[in-house]
Amino acid sequence: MEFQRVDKKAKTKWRFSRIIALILAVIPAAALVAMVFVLIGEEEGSETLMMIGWLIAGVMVLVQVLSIFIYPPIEYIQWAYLIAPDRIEIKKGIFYRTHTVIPISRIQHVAVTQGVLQRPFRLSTVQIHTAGDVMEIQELSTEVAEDICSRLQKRVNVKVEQKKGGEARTAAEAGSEV
Amino acid sequence: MFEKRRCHFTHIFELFARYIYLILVIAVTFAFNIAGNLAGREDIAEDVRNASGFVMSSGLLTVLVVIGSVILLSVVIMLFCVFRWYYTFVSAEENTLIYQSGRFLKKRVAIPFEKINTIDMGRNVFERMVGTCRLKIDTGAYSNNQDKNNAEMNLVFSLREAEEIRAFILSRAELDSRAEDAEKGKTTVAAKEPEWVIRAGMGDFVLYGLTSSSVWKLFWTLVAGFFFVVEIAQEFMEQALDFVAPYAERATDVILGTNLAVVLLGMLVMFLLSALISDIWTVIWAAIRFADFRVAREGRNVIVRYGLITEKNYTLQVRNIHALIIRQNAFQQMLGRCSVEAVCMGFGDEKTETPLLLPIIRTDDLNRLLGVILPEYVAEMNVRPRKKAGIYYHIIRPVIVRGAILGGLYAVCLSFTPAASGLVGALALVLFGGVIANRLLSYRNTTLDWNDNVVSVQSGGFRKVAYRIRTDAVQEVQLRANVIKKHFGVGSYYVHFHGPRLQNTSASYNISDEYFAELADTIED
Repeated sequence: MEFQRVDKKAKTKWRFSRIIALILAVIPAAALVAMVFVLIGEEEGSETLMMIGWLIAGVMVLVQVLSIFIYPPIEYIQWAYLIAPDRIEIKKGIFYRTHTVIPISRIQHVAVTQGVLQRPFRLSTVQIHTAGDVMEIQELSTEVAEDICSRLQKRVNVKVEQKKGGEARTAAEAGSEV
Repeated sequence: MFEKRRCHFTHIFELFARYIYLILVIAVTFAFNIAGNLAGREDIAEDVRNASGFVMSSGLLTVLVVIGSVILLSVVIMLFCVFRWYYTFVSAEENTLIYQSGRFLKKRVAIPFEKINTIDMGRNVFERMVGTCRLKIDTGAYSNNQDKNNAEMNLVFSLREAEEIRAFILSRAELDSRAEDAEKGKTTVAAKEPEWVIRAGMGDFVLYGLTSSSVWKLFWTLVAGFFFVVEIAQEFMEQALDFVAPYAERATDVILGTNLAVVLLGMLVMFLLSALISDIWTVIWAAIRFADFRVAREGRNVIVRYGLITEKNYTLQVRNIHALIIRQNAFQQMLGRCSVEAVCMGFGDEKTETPLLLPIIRTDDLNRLLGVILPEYVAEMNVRPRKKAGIYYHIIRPVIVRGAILGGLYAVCLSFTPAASGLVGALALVLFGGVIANRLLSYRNTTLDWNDNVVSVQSGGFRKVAYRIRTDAVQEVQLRANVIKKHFGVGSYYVHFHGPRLQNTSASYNISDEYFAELADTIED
């Protein structure tokens, strides 16, 4: 069993959604900067202020550029999931890496969701609900996601049946002892 | 199986009591209104008019009408309560408990016996006087509305009847030999007094109150309100200096100078006073609330009873207890005491409930007592060795970061109040000492152990919290580490488990990441 990567289109989708987010953030920010420039641009001692402003803007742009152009390939390499017969493992994160293990027998239900930005790329997210939390495997191609969902559902049923059988056996044993 | 039963008739008065405030508000509004006019004073009448928008005449007729309408309202509400009481029934069928209420707006709740998680019998002063008992039955089901996330059934019965119903449900839920007894009508289970494992005495509660009071919270609040205190103290000082000066000058000239000494003394006195008041309050509160605290194990249930004014009587099913939380604050760590809470489905999700299992016990006694009440949670743990790199993340890095923050704050404080440099410096030093102590403790306290039955997750410095989670209640395990931590083989473990709240997580920070695969294997079985 080897860890699976998310769909290749995920990189494009991440870039696309981040560019949209950038546009949504940049327009009001630019308007604000322009307003400030108009208001205090001519005043005495405004140069230092403008310098600080440009510095902050520069850092923000740098972060955005990183998240649009540099991060997606790294994320693509580092995000991984594994669906073993008895467990699901999910790895996430760029700097802060999370490794999650969910035993199949603890799964309550599985859902497939598709966001607006995922639709053009035919990508989906698998949500795995346990009694304690919800974990997601994002950016899978819709076919893979639905396949995983149905496979998990079957496996959960099998596990539950096994568990029930085991409990019934132990109960029967206890009964025979009495 | 039993036929439809109505609650005890005093249920009517308890229902009525919920609406009394409504009647009182109306009565008081009218009374003020009339009184405002009766006094014959325009200014009072004016105030009343401003407050309530109208002023009523003070003639005899008006007064009578008001009294009459208040009485009428009471009668209507009383009739409504009687109606509610008359049409509320509890009955039991083969496998389900059925609760129905209402005549026109009917409500029928069927609760399968095996889904019932806790049965709680509580008695307040009124109920103890009339010999009744409030029976609450909770399945631990979630509700979207947080305020309504309480018991499925909440009714008043006579004590004998409540005990009968409880014994019946227990025998049904457990499906053991007692079911036969209940079938024959022998409800001897409830009548027998359980064997109490622990009976907490008065001394325990003094200790509990003293050690669990919020002295530290107060301390931090005072630190946060530092500037405010200095302001007040300086104002106060000028007034009080004439009085204090002869003593203060002599005592502290050598050390800090008069101003500072008074400020410092003022702060100290304030701190001690508030700590004292809070201690007394928590001791009294704990003594009243948890008076005569008893715990017993009975078959597959744990029984908890306590309370002086309001008597509580909980029956928790062991299969619904998913974890234990063992808490120790700084004082309790020093004295070697701890308190144990249960994470139990359907228990502790109401605002007034504290899922306390053992209020305060010696840490050495913990395993022995748990061995009697919940042997499921006692087990030899394999204590896993700590990682050297953990020292950096637990002690060195936080101390450097917090030291730098304190230094910065010190500088800012100095620029505001240059006069108080000695005081601020002393305070910063004390805080820095606290930070170091907290981090050292945190390194010592952080552990992660497990065996086939229980996962034990422990963390925290001054506030040490240890979770003992039943392995089959663990839903998922998570390992989080950044790139550098990963390089050093250090990571933080998060264990999510199934509990009465939607998110139940315990965490153990910065320990070796090599145990993860083993832990993951353990919880799968």
